[in-house]
Amino acid sequence: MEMSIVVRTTTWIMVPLMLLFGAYIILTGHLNPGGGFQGGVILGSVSLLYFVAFGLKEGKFSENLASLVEDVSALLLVAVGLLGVVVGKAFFSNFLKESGIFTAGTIPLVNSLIGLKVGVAFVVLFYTFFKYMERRA
Amino acid sequence: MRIAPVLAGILTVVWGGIFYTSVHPEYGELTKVASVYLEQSFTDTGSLNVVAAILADYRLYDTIGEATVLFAAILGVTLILGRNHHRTEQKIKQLDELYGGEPRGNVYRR
Repeated sequence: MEMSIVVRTTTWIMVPLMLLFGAYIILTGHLNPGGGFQGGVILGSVSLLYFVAFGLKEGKFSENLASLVEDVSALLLVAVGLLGVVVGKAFFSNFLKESGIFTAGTIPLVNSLIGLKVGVAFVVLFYTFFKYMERRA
Repeated sequence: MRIAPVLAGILTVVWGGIFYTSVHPEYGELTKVASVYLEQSFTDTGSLNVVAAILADYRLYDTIGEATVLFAAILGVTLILGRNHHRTEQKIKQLDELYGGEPRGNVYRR
């Protein structure tokens, strides 16, 4: 079910800004207030706004890809922890700190993976709710 | 009057008081762990944000547990609400034809 043209136009204006803001919150989580969960929720709320404004067009969106991204990012999160063991430190140790690649070692990496996972999880959640609602209607 | 509930209440209050007085610091006073976080988090992790240093370095196990909780929640929602109802619909229609029943409205409401 689509909403009015005002809502749809505003959505097209807001969606890129919200995506940018979510990415900013995630990527500077180790410097400013923010982090993976917060930015991921912002990214996920983009999908909520989109589904509310445009309605769910079945077949235009595949939840399989979203599920795949969520699973892969969760596995990569564990892989980052295991890499700490491979390097020779403890599980989930901050092994990139001395390398100087990132300012805060593995923290931006972990934040990005968590942000991706949380954002995509919310996309799947909202999609499932909307699909259920449209079927009940 | 039974003695067991009274005893349980007294024990709860006493245990709570012991834990409260032993763990709870004075107002404006940092516990040992908190002062270590505040003083050493930058040299330990290189992160300017102490909260991010705690969440993504010191307590990363807790964070991955939260991610697992979210994953379990999504799994439950998808299993219960996201099923493919198409097969159920076909089955109900087949049964309707078999027993000569009248198809009434939305099959999900039955």
